[in-house]
Amino acid sequence: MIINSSNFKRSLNDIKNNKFLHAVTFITIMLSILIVGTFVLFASNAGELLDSWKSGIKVIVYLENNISSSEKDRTRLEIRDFEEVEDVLYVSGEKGLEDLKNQMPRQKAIFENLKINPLPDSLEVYLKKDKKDIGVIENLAAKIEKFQSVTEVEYGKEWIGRFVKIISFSRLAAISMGAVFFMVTVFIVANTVRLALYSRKEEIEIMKLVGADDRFIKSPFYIQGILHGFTGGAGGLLLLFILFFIFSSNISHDFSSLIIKIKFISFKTLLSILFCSTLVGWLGCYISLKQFLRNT
Amino acid sequence: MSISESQPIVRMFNIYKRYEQMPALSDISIDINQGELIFITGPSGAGKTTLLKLLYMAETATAGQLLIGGVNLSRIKPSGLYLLRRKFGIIFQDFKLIPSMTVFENVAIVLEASGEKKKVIDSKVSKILRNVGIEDKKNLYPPSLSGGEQQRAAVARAVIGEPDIIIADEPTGSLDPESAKIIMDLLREFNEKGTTLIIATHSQDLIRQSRGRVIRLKKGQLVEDLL
Ligand SMILES: Nc1ncnc2c1ncn2[C@@H]1O[C@H](COP(=O)(O)OP(=O)(O)OP(=O)(O)O)[C@@H](O)[C@H]1O
Ligand SMILES: [Mg+2]
Repeated sequence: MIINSSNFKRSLNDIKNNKFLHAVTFITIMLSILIVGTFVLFASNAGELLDSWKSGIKVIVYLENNISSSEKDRTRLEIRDFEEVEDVLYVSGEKGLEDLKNQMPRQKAIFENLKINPLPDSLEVYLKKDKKDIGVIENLAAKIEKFQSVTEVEYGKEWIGRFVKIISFSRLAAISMGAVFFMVTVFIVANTVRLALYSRKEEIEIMKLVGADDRFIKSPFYIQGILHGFTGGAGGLLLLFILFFIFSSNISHDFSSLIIKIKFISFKTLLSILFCSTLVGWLGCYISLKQFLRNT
Repeated sequence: MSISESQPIVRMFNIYKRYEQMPALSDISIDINQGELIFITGPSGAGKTTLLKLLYMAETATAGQLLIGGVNLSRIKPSGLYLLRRKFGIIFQDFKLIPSMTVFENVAIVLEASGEKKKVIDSKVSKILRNVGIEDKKNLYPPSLSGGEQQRAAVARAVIGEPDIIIADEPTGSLDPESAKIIMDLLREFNEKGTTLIIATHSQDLIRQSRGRVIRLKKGQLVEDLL
C-alpha cells in the first residue's frame, strides 16, 4: 500500500461518490465494536470484582461454646501455623455482636432486645496473598473442621463457585463474541470493497491500460478499508463510553455503596480493540482485492 | 540497450486473431522500427483496432508471435503487464476517459501511477493541456465535454508519459480540420523526437498530409505495406 496525497484523494472521492455504501460499512463496524466492547466491559469488571473480593477473602471458624480460653488460644496458634495462613484473629461472641450492630445501624433495635448473645466465639483466618484460591481454601477448611474445638468453618463456598463460573463465562462470551464479530465485519468490509470494485471495473480496466500497476489500483481501497476499521472502531468505543457514562452516573446514586465501582475498559484494552477493528478493515480489503485482481 | 535499438521495436510473425469463430486478422507479419510513422488503414471492420489491441495486450493473438522491444508478449505475466503498458501512450477510438475524474486527473493519473512528484505532475499536465487547447476545461468531467474536447484530453493523456510508442486509433475522428491539424502537429512533433507513432485511420487526407509508411488491411488481411 502507498499512502500519498493522490491515493488519499482518490479514496475520499470514492467515499463521497458512494456515501450510502460507506455509511453502512462504518455503522456496521461501529455497532459490532459497541457489542464486543460491552462484553469486554462486563468481563473486565467481573475480573476486577473477583480480584477485589479475593483481597478481602477470609475464613471464619466457629468455636465450641464450652471450651477454655487456653484451648481457644491453642486452636488459634495451630491454625496460624498452617503455611497458607497469614494471620488469625480471635473474635469473641460479644465483639461479633458489636460489629454486627455497627454494620447494620437500622436494625440496632433488634440486637438490643436480644436476651442472650446468639453468636459463638470465632476465629477469623486471613490467607496469604498468593494462597487465595478455591482449592486452597477448601483444603484448609477441611483441615480446620477436624479440630475438636471447632463447630463450623464458613467461607461462602457456593458463592465462590458461582462467582467464578460467572466470570469465566463472561470471559468466554467476550472472546467468542469478539471472534464472531471479527469474522462478520471482515465479511461485510470485504463485501463493500467487492461492490466498490465492481462498480469501478471499467475505471480500473482503464487505469491498467494507461500503465497503473496493481499496487496503485489497490492503495485507495486499502486506505478506505483502514479508515472504515479505524473510524468505525473509534466511533463504537466512543458510543460505548457515552452509554457507560450515562449508565454509571445513574446507577451510582442508588448502588454505589453496595456494588463495587464499575470501571471503563482499560486504555490498553481500548487500543487493542481499535487495532483489531483496523485490522478488520484491512483484512476485508485484502480478501476482496486478492479475489478481484485474480479475476480481471 | 543496443540489442533493442538495432532490432525493430515491434515484430509480428504470422499473427492470427479470431473472435469466437470469426477471423479478425489472418497471417499478419510486420516489423516496425523505432521512430517510424505508420498509418494503418482500411475499411471499417478490417481489423485495425484489433491489431493495435494485440500490441498493448488488450487482446492476445490466437496464433503467431509478437515481440515488443525484443520481448515476446507470450512471456509477459499479468503482474508485469503494466511495464509493457508504460511503453505505450494510447489514444483509444472510444477515448476511455474516466468519467468520475476531472480532465486534469485523467491526464495526471499516468504520472501518478509511475510515482511522479506532485509538483512535476502539476506543471507537466498544465503544459500538455495548454498544448492541446483544453486548459480551461481541466476541472470539468469528461461527460460534460464535447467529443472533440474529450479526444484532445485522450491525446494529452497518451503523450504525457513520453512513451516509446504512441498508438492512435482515429485520433482526429471527432475533430474539426483546425483542431485535427493541431493534434497531428503535436503527435508528429513527438515522432520527430524519436517516438514511434502508429495511427489507425480511415482518413486518406490525414495520410496524405504526412510522410509515413502505410499499412492497408482488408478483411483482416494485409493487402499493402508502402513506405
Ligand atoms: N471483442 C470482439 N468480439 C467479437 N468480435 C470482435 C470484437 N472486436 C472486434 N470484433 C470484430 O473483428 C473485426 C475487426 O474489428 P476492428 O474493431 O479491429 O475493426 P476496425 O478496422 O478497427 O474497424 P473501424 O474502422 O470501424 O474501427 C470486426 O468484424 C469486428 O466485428
Ligand atoms: Mg477501429
